[in-house]
Amino acid sequence: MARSRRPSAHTIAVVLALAETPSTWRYGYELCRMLDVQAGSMYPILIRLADRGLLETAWESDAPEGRPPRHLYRLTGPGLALATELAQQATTSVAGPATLRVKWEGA
Amino acid sequence: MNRVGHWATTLAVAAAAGVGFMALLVWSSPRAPGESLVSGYGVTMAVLSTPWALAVGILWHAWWVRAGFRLSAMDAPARLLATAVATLPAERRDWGAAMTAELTQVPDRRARWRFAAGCARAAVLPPQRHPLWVLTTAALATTAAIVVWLAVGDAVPTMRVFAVTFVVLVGALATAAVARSRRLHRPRHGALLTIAGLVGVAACIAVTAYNLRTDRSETLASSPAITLAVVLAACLWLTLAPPRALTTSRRARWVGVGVGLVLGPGVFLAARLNETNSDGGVLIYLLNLPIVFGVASALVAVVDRSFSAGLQTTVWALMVTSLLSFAVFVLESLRWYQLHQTSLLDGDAGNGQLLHAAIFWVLIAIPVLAFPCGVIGAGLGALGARVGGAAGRQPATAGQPPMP
Repeated sequence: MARSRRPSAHTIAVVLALAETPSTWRYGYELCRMLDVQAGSMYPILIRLADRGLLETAWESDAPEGRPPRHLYRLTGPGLALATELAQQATTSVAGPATLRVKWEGA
Repeated sequence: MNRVGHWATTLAVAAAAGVGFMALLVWSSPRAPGESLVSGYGVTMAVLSTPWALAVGILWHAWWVRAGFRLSAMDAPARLLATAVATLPAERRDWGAAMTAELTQVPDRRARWRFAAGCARAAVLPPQRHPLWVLTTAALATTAAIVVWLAVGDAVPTMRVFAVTFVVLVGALATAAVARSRRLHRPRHGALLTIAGLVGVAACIAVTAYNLRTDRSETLASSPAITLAVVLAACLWLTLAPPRALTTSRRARWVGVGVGLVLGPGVFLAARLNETNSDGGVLIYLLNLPIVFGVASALVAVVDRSFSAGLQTTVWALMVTSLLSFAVFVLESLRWYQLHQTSLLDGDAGNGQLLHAAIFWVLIAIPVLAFPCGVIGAGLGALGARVGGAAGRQPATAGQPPMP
């Protein structure tokens, strides 16, 4: 059953940042720096997005010798749909984030 | 740190712990007139602390070889993250690897600390897919504690502290398990161990209730009651959700459970033999159990060529033996007391103290004595396997003609 729930401001920022260039794979630390979000907030957000099928993950295939491969992230189709919805609501909403409600589960 | 330094540090720590333990003995139990400090306290200290010192040294060495050496090559933020990531549930381990890999890309020290601390927090408290389940589990646990408080208070009032503590601990563990795991799954470490553990815990609770209901003079004070609850809750946790490190050897589980299934009911035989040979046979039987743990752990360590397998054998044997021995011991003690009006252990008057003696001897003293023996056995077994393996390879290579 779909559950309406307002994502946090950080989650919205992460989703929108990933949606800017949807085909580009992003790194966790890169997202932290881009959005000025602490790793302690960033990784739970990424984990939740991945759990809900909104985020596609992969391991870096061409890591240099002596360095572990990094984890890469980009939005899935439903993730992009969510980003579109979030972007539309953010632009049309005049009452602020209190009215921002999205289909968060089962997307 | 080299090997000599490692063992020198271990011995220094062991000596300091021994002196501290001796000081505690002197302080808590003043010497009787004429009692020698050396024979009265020094020997006790040596007997109790030497196996523990050796065991701690072996465990520290094993940890160093397995993880400590790797950790020593890292900086402090990486060490913090590696430690936190090790606590992640299995289905979240890839996220731990992701965080670890990402940390290698963080350049300056301050940023590394900030990144590692944030990731560590996320690793220790990973997000929940269903937070409602956590709240529901916590609410059920609270309700169960209240119900148990009321129900047990009516049925067996002396069991109330134990029952409520046990339910609270189990509820807390269940809540933590639901909070940390993405989904609940069946234990994957073998049905035999699960059944043995569950039956053992249930048997301990049942015989405690039976004892308190049957013998109205029997008491269960708060401290022993809480100790019993903590031990049984820990056994239940080991049975249902053991750490990964304890489930890698199938042989260790089988031998551990087998040892427990033999030694636990063996208390029954020792108690019945006590009838004909009333010289504290049960106590002697219990005090000899650590030797069996040491031998069993050594054998598994030799066969599996693994210290870890020997250590796992100790843990499982100790758990199953303690649970079954406690259940049998309480029943046999009750029967013995009804026949002889004395304690099964030493023949003294044991009115109302049966459960206290069972908790102290079977659930505290025996594990305290047996665990270091098991660790030492596992260490000797692994060492023997390594030496034997090296000796076995030697003739083959020695027989080869030297390469030109």
